[in-house]
Amino acid sequence: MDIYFPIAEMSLNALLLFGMGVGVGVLSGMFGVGGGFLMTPLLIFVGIPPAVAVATEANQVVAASVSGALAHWRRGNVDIKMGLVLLLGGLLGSTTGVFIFTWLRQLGHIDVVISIFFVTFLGIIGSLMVTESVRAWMRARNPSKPRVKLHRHIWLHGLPFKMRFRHSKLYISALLPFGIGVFVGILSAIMGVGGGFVMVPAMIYLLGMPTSIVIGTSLFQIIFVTANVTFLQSVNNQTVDIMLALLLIFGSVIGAQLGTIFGAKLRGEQLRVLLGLIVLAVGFKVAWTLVVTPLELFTLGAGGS
Amino acid sequence: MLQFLVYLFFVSGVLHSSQINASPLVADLSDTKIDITTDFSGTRLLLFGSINGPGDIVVVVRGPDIREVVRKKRRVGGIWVNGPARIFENAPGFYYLASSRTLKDVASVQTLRDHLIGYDSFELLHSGDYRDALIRLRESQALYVNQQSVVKLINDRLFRVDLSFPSSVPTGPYRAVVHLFRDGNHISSYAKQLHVTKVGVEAAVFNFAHTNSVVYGIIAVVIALLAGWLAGVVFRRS
Repeated sequence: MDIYFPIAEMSLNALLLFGMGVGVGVLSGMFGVGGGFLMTPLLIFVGIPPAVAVATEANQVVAASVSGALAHWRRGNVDIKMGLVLLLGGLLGSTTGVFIFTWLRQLGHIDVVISIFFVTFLGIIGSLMVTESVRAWMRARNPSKPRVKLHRHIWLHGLPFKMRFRHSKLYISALLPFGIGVFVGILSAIMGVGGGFVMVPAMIYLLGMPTSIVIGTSLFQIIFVTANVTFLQSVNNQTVDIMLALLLIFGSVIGAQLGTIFGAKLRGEQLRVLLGLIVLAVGFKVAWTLVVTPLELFTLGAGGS
Repeated sequence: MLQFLVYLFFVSGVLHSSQINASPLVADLSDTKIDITTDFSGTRLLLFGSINGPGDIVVVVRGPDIREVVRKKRRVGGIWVNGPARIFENAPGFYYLASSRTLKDVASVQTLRDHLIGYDSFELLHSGDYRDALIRLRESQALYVNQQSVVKLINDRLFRVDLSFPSSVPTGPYRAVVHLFRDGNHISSYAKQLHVTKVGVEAAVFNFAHTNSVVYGIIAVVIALLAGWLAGVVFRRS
């Protein structure tokens, strides 16, 4: 069943896209990841112009993070003050990011830049996931090793503008979460992702936040940053395809429910290795298209896809 | 003034031919508009007609001119990036050619060019590599079609051509022209306008996104917020 997507200006099989939504939704339900970092490359693989894939995926992540953030909100797992500082940085970063995106698109380099960002981050995240899970697996078999102290005070925490974050039980420089917000905002604009895969580890290891409130707080920030990206992409580039986004949202909502059920029944560490391998495979596929000599050296269109 | 002269010439031609009871060329198109709707995956139109004796038929369907950027990739530090670009301001967005014989047997290069037949008649800003690439890529997307000696004439009288339009067909005014050649001379031609438009939700969404992008952006965000909230409520564990 082919559907014509007005912004992508092409027709694609609706069931295929719905299935991709379900598949990535299952992964996000199982692992609590947003899934944007897998969905954007998949959309590009099926032929959606990269600029449309990125902007539309940001729109989908808005929906995905709202339902997640609400659940964490009800359990009181959101540090609003920390979230707002992260958000301030996120808005600055994502706004800058969209303007960089628009500029690169006019130059015809946006496709390559999107690919390089994905190769870099999928490569790093995938490798970390695999090694980390294998290590945790080993530790589980050999529990004699001491656990690491959760919060270590590092020099970054001593920067100016110190602020008290009661919910996180931290008294650290606000520049640090602000800076993390800026960085993740740029990624969000250029990759169409929420950026949880960077923000969550940064909040745990750099800020030293309690793990229980990290996910909720990051989702809180992601809602507004991806909303900002969606809005600015619509205004600057007209690349947000609402119909495509709705189809993906519908699929991923159902997938996420299935994923939560599977996730509760299956064992964690092996699954994380699996997710890490999927991430690496997608990264490798993107890298391959960058490196291999193309059959056709010429391309058409403003985006140069 | 010129149009008036052409009109007089045309009317006198028709009157004259009706006296001998056969115009050299009569043709029609099965439809004069193509609507791009949600389930649009390309479409076909039938162009048919008759001629009054042996001759060669050339059918040309030309879409609106579209600005196109052609880029050439080059290798930088091991990866392929877009290199220098050429901008074609007025390349036809769609071009369909079908003929009853190979063009070189139909008429001289100059005659064909005078009647805007064939890629050689394109007045493009750049030649060489980039021009060839533009045509090759558009052909691979089925936006340019060049099918010579596919039009079959029945008893040297009747002909039909199946025109196919891919899902990525550009919107705008089109012109379908049938030419009749005899012994290398242009005898007659028939032209009909054709319109490709986005209709329904597609047109509304596309136009809205481009003319009212601020409101479109806000709506996109609100829809996503509502969808996410709804999903959260529906699947909330009691």
